[in-house]
Amino acid sequence: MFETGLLPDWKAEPEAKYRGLLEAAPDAMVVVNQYGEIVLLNLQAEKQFGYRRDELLYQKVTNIIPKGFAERLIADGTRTAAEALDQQIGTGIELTGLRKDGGEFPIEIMLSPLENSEGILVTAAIRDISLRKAAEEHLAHMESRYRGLLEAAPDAMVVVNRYGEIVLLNLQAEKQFGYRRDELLGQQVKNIIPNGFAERLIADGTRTAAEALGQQIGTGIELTGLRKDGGEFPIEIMLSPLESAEGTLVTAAIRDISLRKDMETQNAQLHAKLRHAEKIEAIGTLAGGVAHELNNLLQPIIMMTELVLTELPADGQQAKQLLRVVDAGGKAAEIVQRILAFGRVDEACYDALDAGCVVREAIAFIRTILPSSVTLHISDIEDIGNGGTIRGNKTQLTQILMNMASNARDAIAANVGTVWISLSRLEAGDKRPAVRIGAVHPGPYVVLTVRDTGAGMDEATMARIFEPFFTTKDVGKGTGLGLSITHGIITSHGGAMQVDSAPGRGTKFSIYLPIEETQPVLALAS
Amino acid sequence: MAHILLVDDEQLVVDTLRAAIQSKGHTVETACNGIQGLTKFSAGRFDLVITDIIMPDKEGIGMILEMRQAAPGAKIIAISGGGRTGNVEFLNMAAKLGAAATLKKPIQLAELFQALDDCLARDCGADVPQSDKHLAGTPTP
Repeated sequence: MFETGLLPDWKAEPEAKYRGLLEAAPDAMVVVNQYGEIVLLNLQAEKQFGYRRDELLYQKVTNIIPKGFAERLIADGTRTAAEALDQQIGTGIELTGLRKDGGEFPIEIMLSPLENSEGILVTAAIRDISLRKAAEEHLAHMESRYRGLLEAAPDAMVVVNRYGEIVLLNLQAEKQFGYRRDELLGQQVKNIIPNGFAERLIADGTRTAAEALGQQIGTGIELTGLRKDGGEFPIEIMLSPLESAEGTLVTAAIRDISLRKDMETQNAQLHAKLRHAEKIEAIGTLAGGVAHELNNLLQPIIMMTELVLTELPADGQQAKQLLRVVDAGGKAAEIVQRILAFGRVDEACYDALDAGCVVREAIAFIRTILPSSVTLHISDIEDIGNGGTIRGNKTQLTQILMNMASNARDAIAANVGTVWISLSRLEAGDKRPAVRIGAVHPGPYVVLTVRDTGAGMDEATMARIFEPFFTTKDVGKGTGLGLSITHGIITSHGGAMQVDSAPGRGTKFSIYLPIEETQPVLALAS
Repeated sequence: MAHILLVDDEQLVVDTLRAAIQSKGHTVETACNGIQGLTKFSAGRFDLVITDIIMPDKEGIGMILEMRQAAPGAKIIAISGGGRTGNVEFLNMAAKLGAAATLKKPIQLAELFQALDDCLARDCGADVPQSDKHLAGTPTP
């Protein structure tokens, strides 16, 4: 059924054709005259608004679209009705429809002009967008929930498209990498994860991008993150795919594992120290037992020989030969004493010492063992003065200095080289250094360093140098006990030790001894 | 000349020290552990006891303690070849318990003679006055 109002020109047209078109339209169609009255409508309009056709014809359009429709057609001081309408043509305008039963529903209208003898009519195609609006609201609601989830995530979250560009990120990602969100959006993920991320998503001859990603899903991958300030930090990422209109995106949960890595490193160091301490303990027990037995055996060798010597002419050949037995016995006894030093530092008597005096006296000995091809540089010894009072055993401290100097000499070997010895202070407020032996606690320390231009060591060698009997020297050149004894002496002094070296770059030993805040009681400079 | 009790579990050491001591004209009686040492100490009269520290059955520290209880003025030289923690600890302890001298093995002949001369020349421990030149192994009444 199709009825017309004031449309004489329409009646002249092939009416059936237009009526068919109008009624078949999926949207409600309403034609409105310049007075805002409905002059034509279709079946969809009846259905949408709940009126019969005759109830709407010649009624004001504001009855079914109370706001925003009629106003759009009204001329005002700045425009004619035609101009007003022109501005609306073709745009989808969202308004509210009012049903006969009083119910409201969202509509979208599209306007187009229709000219006839009466003037300009307006055709409005009205679409009920209730479903679309509900879907949009649902979507917005979901998005806000997911965004909330994303922002609340404890890890940095970054979504990357197939071009390796960041398309979404959360607050943690901003914090972790030190960028503002707008600085990262659209940027290459390589800017914040230089290696190992993008490569994992790339297709190659053997796999598609989807397969490449599939291989990574769910596995924790350890990589390095790059902050805006250039700082690097260890991260662990978990990847998962995210299907979207743009294709498959990759969601990456990125965790800063600096703390975990630090803990792992500390644990490894602690375990290494513990293993070393256990080894020293075991060797000490063994050494103690061996020393006891050897000393008992050396007793008759030395004393019986001495007894025989008392009965021989002192200048005779036999006496000279037997004296060598006594000498050898004495040397063997010294070695036994050194072995005993693992268990504990033997015969230790601790006095308040001026570190500078101890070092100066030791240097006098050191000069005697260095060949002319090795230059000895001393620095900062005088400056430390009495500010470097330590509690220790002078003989032992001299022994470790001699030991390090002889190691330096052997490292330089037949080459021309230099040995530097220096003494300085580590103040209470200074940062605590990393050490291999012992620990540097809060408080002041004297720092004794011996550096050489020798062959240097690799990490594997450095890890073993404090082990008893470990030596890099030729058979007969070293006992492998020097640094173990040094280790024992430093530890018994409450000190610490660090070694820095690299093959071909020389070696630096740093010894830290705690400063005692009293004056030395012994005058050692004599 | 003095009469000396030598206590050590190592026969080679006993033989060596006995020979050295005898070379100075002293007489020597030997024991191979603390129990035997105490038995001989109680039974005899000695001017001096030379004892090892680490021995089976009864070690030297315990033996010194009992000897000093029985005869507070007993002159004792403690000797040791060391052990797990070195010989100094034991010898220091022996000295604290009243050993007149301590010697680390291997002992040199001159060291031994010096210690013998010093100890024998000393009347008795300053802390424990005793009139008898010979130190009785039996408990003081």
